[in-house]
Amino acid sequence: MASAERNAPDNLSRAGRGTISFTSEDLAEFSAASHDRNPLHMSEHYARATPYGEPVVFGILGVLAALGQLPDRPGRRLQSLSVEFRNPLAIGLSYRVDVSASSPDRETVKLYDATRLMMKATFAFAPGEACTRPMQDDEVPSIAEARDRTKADLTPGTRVNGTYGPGRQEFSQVVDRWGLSEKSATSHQIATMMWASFLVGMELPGQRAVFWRLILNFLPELESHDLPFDYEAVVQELDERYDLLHTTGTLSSKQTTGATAQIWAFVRQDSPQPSLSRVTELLPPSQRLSGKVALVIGGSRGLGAAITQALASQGCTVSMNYHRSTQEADRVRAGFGTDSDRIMLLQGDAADAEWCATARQTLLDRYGKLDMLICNASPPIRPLPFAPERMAQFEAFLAGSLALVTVPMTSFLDTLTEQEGWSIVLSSTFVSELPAEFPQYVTTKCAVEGLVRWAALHYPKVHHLIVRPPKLLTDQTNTTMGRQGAMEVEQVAAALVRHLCSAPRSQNAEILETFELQQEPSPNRDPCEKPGPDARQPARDQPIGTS
Amino acid sequence: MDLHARLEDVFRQVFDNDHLTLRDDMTATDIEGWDSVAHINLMFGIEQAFGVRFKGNELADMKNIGELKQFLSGKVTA
Repeated sequence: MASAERNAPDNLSRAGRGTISFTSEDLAEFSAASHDRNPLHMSEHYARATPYGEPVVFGILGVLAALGQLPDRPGRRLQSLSVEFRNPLAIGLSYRVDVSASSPDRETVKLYDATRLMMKATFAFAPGEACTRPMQDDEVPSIAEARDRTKADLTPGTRVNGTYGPGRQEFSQVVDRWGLSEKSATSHQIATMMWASFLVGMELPGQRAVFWRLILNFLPELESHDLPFDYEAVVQELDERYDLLHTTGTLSSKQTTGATAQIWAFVRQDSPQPSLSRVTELLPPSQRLSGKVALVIGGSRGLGAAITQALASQGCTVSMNYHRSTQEADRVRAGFGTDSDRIMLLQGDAADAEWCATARQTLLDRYGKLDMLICNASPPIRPLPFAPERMAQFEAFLAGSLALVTVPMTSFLDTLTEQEGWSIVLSSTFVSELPAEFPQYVTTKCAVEGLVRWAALHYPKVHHLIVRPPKLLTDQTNTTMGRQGAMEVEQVAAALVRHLCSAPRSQNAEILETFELQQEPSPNRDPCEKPGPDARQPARDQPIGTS
Repeated sequence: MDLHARLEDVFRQVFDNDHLTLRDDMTATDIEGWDSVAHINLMFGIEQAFGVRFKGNELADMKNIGELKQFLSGKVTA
């Protein structure tokens, strides 16, 4: 988590450049002021199972921080606001601010992650007085927990309404924190922005929201409104192509409209859960690996969970390592019912040599050996600009990611040598595709593959295998575009285990990068025999499309 | 403004680059910042600017900018 140190917004020259960063305390303060308690921003556990891997900054908090970067504007009042949320802002990173004026009363603030545009907010002003006065009353939110509305609940015409006002004390703290008292935005306008956050994060669509665009128009009548405001919002369209929800909303008091909103937000889909039934459909259960002992590093979620399931489905005894995802680990184990003793849970940080030493002893005490080590774990993979100001993040990813392979390998290669077992490392097709936004991931995987080749020379009794899956459908790719062309993890897991059953010995590091499987192997057929072709392959390279 | 200039304007907005110049042989790899998020912004930007609606991820199946322009000219004049 980010440092707790909080500083006032950096001074900004009229040329319009500075930096902004956000702490967890900033998020907690904004949440208490706005009553937006969406878990994507407030719960580490919840956020871990999203593409972002950790809590991200409220979009509207980014807008307020941007507003605080504008020069003071006496005799002017905010008239409208238009925002594009291009990418979620992370806690603890410093974002570059660029302010430009297209006219004396129209300014655009852009936030950049190095060179990558993250947010663009355009503020339009008109003559008028603006003051931020303290809220008179401490308003109680109309709902305490974010609604979990699925796409089926969001048909056009769906309507929500209620009353809204921010938390009094925290509202003042947010205004002070971001220097908003002289920025030509009134208290009611700032409260309206907070309402937009509340509406998206708590109501429409609620918990599954990822804010995309916002247009707010402030009417002069807003200033005479008493708090709490009345609000009403209506679903206009759910664009099924992109799971994009378009909502319109109004704030009013005594039947008089004070502000109108147009809001677009993506509706996130459920976290994809590896399915044991899908694994067994692709790889019918057998006892081919009975008597074998495997350790899966990072085995509770995504591909690691599917590999655990595939190994155990063939009679293998699997020690499943996980770090924080206890519920997910329990779920994978419970999926085996009466055979759940095939899976032993090993909670801990596999990048820690001490933990690996203890795990090694535990395995030897219990089973007397280890036949397979599968290094699958990785820190969250997020786009990272290759820029000097992001080298700390680059190096931290490299160190953390490498340690999840090097430490287990140093701890277990001698044990694997005794058994002439398998050392399996998960790499990626990204080592050849070289996507622009993931330089840290490409570097790590290339380094890991180099290590495996080295190990193949110096630990010749061990079978060394590099697995290069294509883009997979996991929590990390569970976005509108990310899902397209993504391969199911069960297919890779089934192909890997089938390979372990049938592969001849190799003197060199082997690379597994085709994952074709027959869809419905005959029950009489050897489940580990060489697979045939399958139509379920990733889509062909898309010249204009991206993954 | 002709189709090419209008399309270029959309690309400049989406990719935040006032100097971006489109060529017919360009693909996603030729334009910095063309990631999955930019792709959605681009689709919506084009739909809004030209009054068209892509079916599914139709844009991703196009070979290059030239093919996109052909698609748009067919739709816009239709």
